[in-house]
Amino acid sequence: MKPAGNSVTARDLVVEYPTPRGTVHALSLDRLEVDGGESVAIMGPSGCGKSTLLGLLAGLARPTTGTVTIGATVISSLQEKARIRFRRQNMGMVYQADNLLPHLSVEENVGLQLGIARRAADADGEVEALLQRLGLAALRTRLPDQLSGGQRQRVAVARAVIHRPAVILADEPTGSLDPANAERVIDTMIDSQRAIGATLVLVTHDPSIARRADRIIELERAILTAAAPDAVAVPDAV
Amino acid sequence: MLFRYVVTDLWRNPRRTLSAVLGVSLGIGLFCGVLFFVDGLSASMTQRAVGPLALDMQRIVTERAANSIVLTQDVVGSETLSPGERTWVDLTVHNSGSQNANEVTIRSVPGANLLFVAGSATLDDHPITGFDDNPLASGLGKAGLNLGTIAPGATHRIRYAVEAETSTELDDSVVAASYSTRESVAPVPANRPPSAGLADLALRIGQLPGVAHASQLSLADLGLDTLSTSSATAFGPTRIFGFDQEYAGHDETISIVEGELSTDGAVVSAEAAEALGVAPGDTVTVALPDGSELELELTGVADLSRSRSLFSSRRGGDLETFIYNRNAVIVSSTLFADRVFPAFERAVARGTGRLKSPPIREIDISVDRALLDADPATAVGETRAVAAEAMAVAAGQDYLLDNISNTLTVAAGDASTAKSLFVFLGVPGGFLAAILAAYSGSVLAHAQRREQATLRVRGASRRHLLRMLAARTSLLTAAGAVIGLIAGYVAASAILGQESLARASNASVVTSAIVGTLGGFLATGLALYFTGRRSIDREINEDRARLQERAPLWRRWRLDLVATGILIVGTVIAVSLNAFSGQAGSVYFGRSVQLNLTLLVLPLAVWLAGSLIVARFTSGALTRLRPTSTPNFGRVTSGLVRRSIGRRPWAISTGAIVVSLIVGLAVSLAAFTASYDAAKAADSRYANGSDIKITPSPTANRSYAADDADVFRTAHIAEVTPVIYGLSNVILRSARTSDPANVVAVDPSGFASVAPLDESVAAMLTRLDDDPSAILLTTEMADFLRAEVGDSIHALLARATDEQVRTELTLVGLYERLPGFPDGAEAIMSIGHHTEMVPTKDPDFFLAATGSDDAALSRAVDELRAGPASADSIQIDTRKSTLDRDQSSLAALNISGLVSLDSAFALGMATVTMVVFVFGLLLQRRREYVTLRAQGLEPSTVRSLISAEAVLTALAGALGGILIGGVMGYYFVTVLRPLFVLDPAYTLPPAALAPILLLVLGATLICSAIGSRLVNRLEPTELLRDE
Repeated sequence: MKPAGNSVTARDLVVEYPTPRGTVHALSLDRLEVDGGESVAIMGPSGCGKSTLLGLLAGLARPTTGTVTIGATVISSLQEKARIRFRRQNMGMVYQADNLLPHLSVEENVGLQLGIARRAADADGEVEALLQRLGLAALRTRLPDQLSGGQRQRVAVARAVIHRPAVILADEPTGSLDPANAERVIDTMIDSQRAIGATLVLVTHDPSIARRADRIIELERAILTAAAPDAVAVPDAV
Repeated sequence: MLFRYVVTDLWRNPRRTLSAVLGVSLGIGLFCGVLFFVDGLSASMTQRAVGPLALDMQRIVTERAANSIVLTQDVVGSETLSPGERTWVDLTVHNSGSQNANEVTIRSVPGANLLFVAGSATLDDHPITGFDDNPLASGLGKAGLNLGTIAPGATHRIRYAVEAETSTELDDSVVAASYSTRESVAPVPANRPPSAGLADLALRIGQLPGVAHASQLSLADLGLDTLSTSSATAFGPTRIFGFDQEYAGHDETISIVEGELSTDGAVVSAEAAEALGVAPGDTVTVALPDGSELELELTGVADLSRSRSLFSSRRGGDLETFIYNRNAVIVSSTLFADRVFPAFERAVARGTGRLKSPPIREIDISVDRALLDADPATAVGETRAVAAEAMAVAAGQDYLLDNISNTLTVAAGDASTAKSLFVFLGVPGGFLAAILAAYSGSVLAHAQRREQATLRVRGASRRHLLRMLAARTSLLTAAGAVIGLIAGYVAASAILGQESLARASNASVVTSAIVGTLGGFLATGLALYFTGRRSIDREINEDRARLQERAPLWRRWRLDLVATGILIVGTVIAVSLNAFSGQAGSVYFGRSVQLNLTLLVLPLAVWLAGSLIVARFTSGALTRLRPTSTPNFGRVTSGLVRRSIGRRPWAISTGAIVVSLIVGLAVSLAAFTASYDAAKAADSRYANGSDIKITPSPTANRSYAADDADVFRTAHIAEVTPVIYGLSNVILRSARTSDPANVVAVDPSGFASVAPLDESVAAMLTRLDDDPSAILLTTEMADFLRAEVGDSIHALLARATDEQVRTELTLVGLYERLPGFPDGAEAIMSIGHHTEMVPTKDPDFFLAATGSDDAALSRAVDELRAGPASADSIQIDTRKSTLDRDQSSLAALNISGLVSLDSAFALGMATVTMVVFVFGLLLQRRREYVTLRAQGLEPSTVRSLISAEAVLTALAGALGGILIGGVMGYYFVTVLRPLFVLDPAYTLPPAALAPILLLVLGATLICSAIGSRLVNRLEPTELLRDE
């Protein structure tokens, strides 16, 4: 299930959670459009719905109302199994924590993602080439616990791009790193995104990281303040 | 504040809380259950021990026939004698009877502070001469003065002086005087109180508190052919009894089958009535030892063939032997005292007749058993108090056989052994509780690492975390202890029955509750606390790094090898010291089972060492599956499973330790129970002779000849064989000597097919088949007869009957013992030959085999009762009823009940272990599973990961546990060998293993399925919530 194109579009998104104390409005978004191959940074205060939005775009959750479209596929309408298949092949995720499997080596963590996305594919060449390109070849047999935080996060980036996804979604990928490591990780991510032509949606608090994206979108209190690309203030947009 | 946080945390994580509480509850429940079980079981031991006892106490009146001498002693003065002062000792000897007393010897010895004054002794005022020292205690043997014969009514006076060496206060005890006669050789002390009559004695003893009833019984053995009518004689010896209806009413084994007891008439045994051809209304004659005869009207016929109270031996050291006499006469106590006893007196006084044993007069005392404490150790104190009270009534003229106290002393020893044994079997329960708590604690601690790290970031100090841990541990353990206490009581009550548990004293139940709950609370609480504390003390980051490679503590310290070494050394030492042999118990010798309970440490060592070794092999085997790192991941599911178990073997091996401990305990107890039950069944079958022993009553309507064995053959009885047997029923004579012997006559092939014979006896029986005139002897009898195999043995069959006949037999083999004859079988011959020689002699009983199945035995008994036993008076004894009569309290051990208790809890704990394992995986690896799902793995793959690890854990633990349990059970059987008469055969029942294996695997699969459902509910979006 490959999308025709890799643009990301969200329309009339509402996410509400029923709780014993009443309904919680987690997100309300009129419109979001990201062109294929574009990188976008989403910023906003804590609790404004950034992660909720990312979960919807990744197909990890479905909105209460509204649609999410990746290329020509309306993933918000897909059933659970179809969404899993779509996510497996077209999405690459990078989280604040590396979330590497602790008992797998670097190359196995990366190779597993390839194995999941393309069942029974021969991954030898691709995994090694990617690790080589990202400067991780020397670490390939190490376990995650034997790596630094920055190294682990770079491996997580490699895992997110090994299967050449249409869209890369990153949730505070440098949130736990010092500035130097954060810089290396974001370099790796942007380089990889551009190398495979994927669309990148990056959630971050860090303006210096956000500035590395093509555009910055500000979210405020569960309401997107700028719904259209032309309406968004993009300071120092690259 | 902290406490509220902990309560909220426990409340909001119900699965975690429930798993931990369940684990603790089951462990404490098992420990408490075992303690309650011991209480309930001990409570039945007193009743069990005294149940088969025929006579609780026998006060034997030592006043013998012709013992009519009265010796009075008087020490003159009542003041204190100063050193050198003298006083007189007066002795008066009087014959108060109607017969001469012969060889009357008076002995008098002054106490330690008094010296006999030489030459002061006089007899009837004449100096006693010819002695250098005290004539009443002369020579080295302190022999007394023989006065010769004293005629009825005659009196003699003896006087002598004593001088005080030191200041001595005078009373009767400063001089010890006694007399003996030819008729009564046992010394009788002076100043014996006047003889109380038997009736008076019985009345006074019967009124004592704790005594249910006391009745007089007199008995005497008369000579051969002493019971007759004008036209017939009951050949052989006759025993005559004197008792009243009150005595018979208390003894259900005395069965008056026709007529009744009377004051002036006689009741005879059914065999005697048949031999004489008499019925109530006829007259019988009893020849008494003085030559006189009793002409008595027959008022009844009795079946006394099972009356242990009348026919148990009265000889010291032989009290359990049942010596039945077919010819028995019962008269009233009054008649016995007025006619029979004086006849013996006269015979003794005249020195006529051949009296092997004088008449016995006794008060048979039944203790009020309902009042006895349930615990034999306490009950024996109560019966001894009753015995002392009984002896205090008209004291000084007799002695007491305190059978019930002797039995309870043995039972108390057995109860103590049983308690120790059960505590040993219960200790693993407490240990498992601690292990399970520690396991739950470690899983809980892993799950809470992240939460604790967050709390630390927010400012919580180590002290805060430890206080929270203490509060959490206390709450979990307290809840678990309360639930465990209730579960233990309910379980013990369900298995033993509420009635058994209610019989236990409140003090012991309360003590068990306190010990079980407090012990369990401390053991599980400490295990939970220290596991959690260890986790808190680790730095999170360090911990993560170590988790991958670091082996558990037991592995790093090589505790498995240390425990195995200890086990091997302990076993070698025990074998070299022959410590496994112990000593079997015997009520006969007043000896309880002697178990070397220290040796029970060995099975426990097998248990612990074995489980650790299982874990070592499991982790070793899993590590071999560890693939080398490669970028080509291969098949996702199998690749993940292999890498997970190969690189993280400790989770599985630690879980396997817990499962193998639990399964090992259940299997070992199942093996021990199977071996115990089989050995006890074999013991009782051996004692009974076969599965069923059928004894036609003397009052049976018809006679059952050897050829009538088929009458007793039913659908569930495969084989029946006749047996002729009697105590001293044959005189055996070799070329050198002869002796009465208990001879068994059997059909050799039939007997071999029903009786549990050892191979050598079975082989020898075939020689009887080949040569009907052959005989087998015990080695002891052959030694006595100085006979060897091949020698001729002359046998007087049916001795002391009108059909006694001599036959010559050939000794063809020697044996040690034979099943089915508790009173001994000294020779075996062919029943065919016996019947040929004595055609009228019918078998005494028949032995029948049903096979080992208890259901078949029950059906066979039902068929017998519905068949031949419905129309005739037939006694049916089975191997089960024989086991029930086993006087050993250890026979009352409900080992099966204990195993049911242990097994139920063990299986519960195994289930909880798998629950903890599966939910532990979910807790510890939640982020892994969520990540995999976010990466696009289906829930089924995650489910496979969980199931594979859980099943591996369960399989390794269960298979290892079965192996360990097998070895542990073998050790249990070996250590507890003295509990059995026969050497127990070790049995590991496959039928008991299957449910254990199935249940553990079933629990694992169910837990995995539930775990998988939970995985399905995990939302990958939680990975996005790290902000």
